[in-house]
Amino acid sequence: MGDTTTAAAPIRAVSKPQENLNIVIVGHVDHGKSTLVGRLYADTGSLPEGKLEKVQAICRQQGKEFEYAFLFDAFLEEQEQGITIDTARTFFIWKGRQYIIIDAPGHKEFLKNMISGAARAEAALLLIDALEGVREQSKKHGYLLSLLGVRQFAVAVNKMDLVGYRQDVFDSIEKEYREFLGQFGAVPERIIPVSAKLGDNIANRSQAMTWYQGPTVLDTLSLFKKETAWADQPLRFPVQDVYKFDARRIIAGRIAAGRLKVGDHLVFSPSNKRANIQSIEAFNIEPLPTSAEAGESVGVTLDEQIFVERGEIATHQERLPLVSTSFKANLFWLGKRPLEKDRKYLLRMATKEVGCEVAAIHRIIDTMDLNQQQGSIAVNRNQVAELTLRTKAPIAFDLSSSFEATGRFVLVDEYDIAGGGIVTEMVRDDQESLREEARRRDFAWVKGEVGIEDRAKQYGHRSAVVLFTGGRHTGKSLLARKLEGRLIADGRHAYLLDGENLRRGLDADLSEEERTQTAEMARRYGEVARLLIDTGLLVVSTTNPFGLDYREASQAIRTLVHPAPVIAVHVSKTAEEPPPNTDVVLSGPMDFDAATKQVMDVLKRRGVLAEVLGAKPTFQYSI
Amino acid sequence: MNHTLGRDVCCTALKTTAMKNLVESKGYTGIILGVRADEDSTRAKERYFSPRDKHGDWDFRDQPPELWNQFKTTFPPGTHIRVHPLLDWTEINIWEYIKAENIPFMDLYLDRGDGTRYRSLGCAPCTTPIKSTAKTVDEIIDELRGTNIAERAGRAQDAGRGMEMLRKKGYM
Repeated sequence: MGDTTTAAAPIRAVSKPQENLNIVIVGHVDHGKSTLVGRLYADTGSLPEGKLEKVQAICRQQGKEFEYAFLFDAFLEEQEQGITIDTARTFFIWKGRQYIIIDAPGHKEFLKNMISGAARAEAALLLIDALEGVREQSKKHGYLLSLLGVRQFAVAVNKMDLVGYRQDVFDSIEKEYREFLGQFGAVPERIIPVSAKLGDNIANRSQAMTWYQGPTVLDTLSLFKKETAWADQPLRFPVQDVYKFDARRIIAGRIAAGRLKVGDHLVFSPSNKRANIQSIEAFNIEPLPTSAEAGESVGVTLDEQIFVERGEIATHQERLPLVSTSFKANLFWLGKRPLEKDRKYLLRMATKEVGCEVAAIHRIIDTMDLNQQQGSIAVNRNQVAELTLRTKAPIAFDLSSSFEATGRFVLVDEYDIAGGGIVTEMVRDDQESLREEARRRDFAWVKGEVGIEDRAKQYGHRSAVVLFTGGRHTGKSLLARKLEGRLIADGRHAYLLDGENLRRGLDADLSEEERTQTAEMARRYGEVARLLIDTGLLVVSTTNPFGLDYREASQAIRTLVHPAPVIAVHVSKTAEEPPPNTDVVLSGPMDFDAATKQVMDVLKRRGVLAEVLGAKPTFQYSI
Repeated sequence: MNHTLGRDVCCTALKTTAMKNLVESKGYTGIILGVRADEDSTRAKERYFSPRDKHGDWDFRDQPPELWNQFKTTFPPGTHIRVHPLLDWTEINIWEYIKAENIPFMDLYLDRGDGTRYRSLGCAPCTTPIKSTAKTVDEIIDELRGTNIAERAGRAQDAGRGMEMLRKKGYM
């Protein structure tokens, strides 16, 4: 082979590598990514014995020229078409570090595979063909690296042998690409002229390009740093699960940022529940650890039995996450169907899963020239867009510029992950002032000796609000009474909160005009419901006093009693659109027994009536 | 069924078809497997959560995206998911873990006095040992740090496109 390199003796690792580093290789199709990876392995002596020979033999058998790319493009289809279809991970050890090299496809058809590869990388190498210059995917991949949070990367200008190793060709590509990257603030660590096919500046210094004095590709990999700074950030501990062992409840998850230690005061968002860490649990370790930091999967027990769920984020009180039902994001879409405004999606962020919809598509970003196209109603496959999302329930999150793990999300369309994005801005929804009131109130709440869990154990059910909505004369008040009666007859603790009673008492100080404004009435109603929730009752309630503004009122009540479960039942005579988050819709002539049973079934499904708390249930009632 | 009928016929029956039958008869919707990316070049292209269709086939052309620790965890009825938690472990990692946790293992992986041991175990007729004098886990780890022999070099089923064929049809 006409190699123009000076040989470096391969060094095999004989000692344990100090660390792992994930590197992704990206760039436009046919710009030589797989060839570069193959060459890197061959020149560092990292290929297993016989691997080169096996692939060469297959090539001879099929009568085609051997390419280094075939070492990793394992599928027959990939070798026949000469392209990488899916990301391959391969491993090699160099100077005390184990590299996991992720070879990503460059064809635009396989962008989702490139994203899978790049999303797990800590650093990237982006290839540009010297003869073809900067192409569509060179730009898209460069932009996506930045969106995916891969800040550490180098560029290799490949196939320099095809342009006579000319420095002016290299310089003009460097200038053009640096200008492109500069538009979104990305700066490559190095730009390296190489020939992967002939081995120039891969592992060995090129003799044909003495004008280049910088590091080779292999040297550049060694210069990439391991990101370790997450532990120094404020705490972000997304709850993955709550394990119930004997009397203990262990809150489990992986710490995404910061540190925690025994005795720390934790706040869970968005529920605003608080407690101190009593212990950090570990399997088969004596003595138990007293602190843990980012990257570790831990379980903690608390000094107080509070009800928290998967998806909440535990933090210290000084640096709370944001909470809203709405945020702006930059998103890439990979779905077979376009992302559309009037469809429902599932949003997954850290451990939280919540239904969502697109509130607005602000613009589609053309990654070729970063031009922005406005007025779109859909985002097509492989497009990047700036949009606002609205979630079904409030969620805790961060801006991705401050926290990676809690600032980025994926969208699921039916069964498939179909897009991913980063949060760029919180949008204050109309519940913000009530949410702030609830937060201040919950943080300062004076607790007695009896906790909500104790009451639930004693009563045989959790507390919840059953909220009947609907216009006047729909039968909802009668249905609410029936439900209260049925619950009491079954031995539950239920109470009918009728708005009329508040109107004449608690709201007596409001003027006639104030009483026609829903906001203050709903706030008072919500706070009373919150008190009753704390007593462990099933609060059966109607929104009658708010007239037809039940949509607004039901939202306010939810915010104020959050995170207690609210089961919404909408009653109407016509087939009108129920308020968002309605659990049961009843229309047409009313069969009260059937309707009551339907509501009871939802209570059971939501775990209000069936939740078994503690190891030895002391329920006096059958549930 | 045996290897004298030809390796492809035998492997397909004993590995691919057998596994497919098991999944079908038990109605499994998920299987956790210990395959690793460093074992084989098609396993190098696997996902952590890898869906299989009704026939158990692997649609390697259209694999789900995996990013930011979010995986494909919902799938239509009749299909199943293969979960590969050890995908990014290497052969050495396995032995280090065996050592750290003192996990018992089959002694065919050690030299039992004849100067050979098995790196990878499969069906007897199609698996050959490598030359090695490693008699302890520590010696295996030392040997692996210096070797450039592939882990599955002794597995006849990997020859040519053997693994690729088996895996596309549903083998693990």
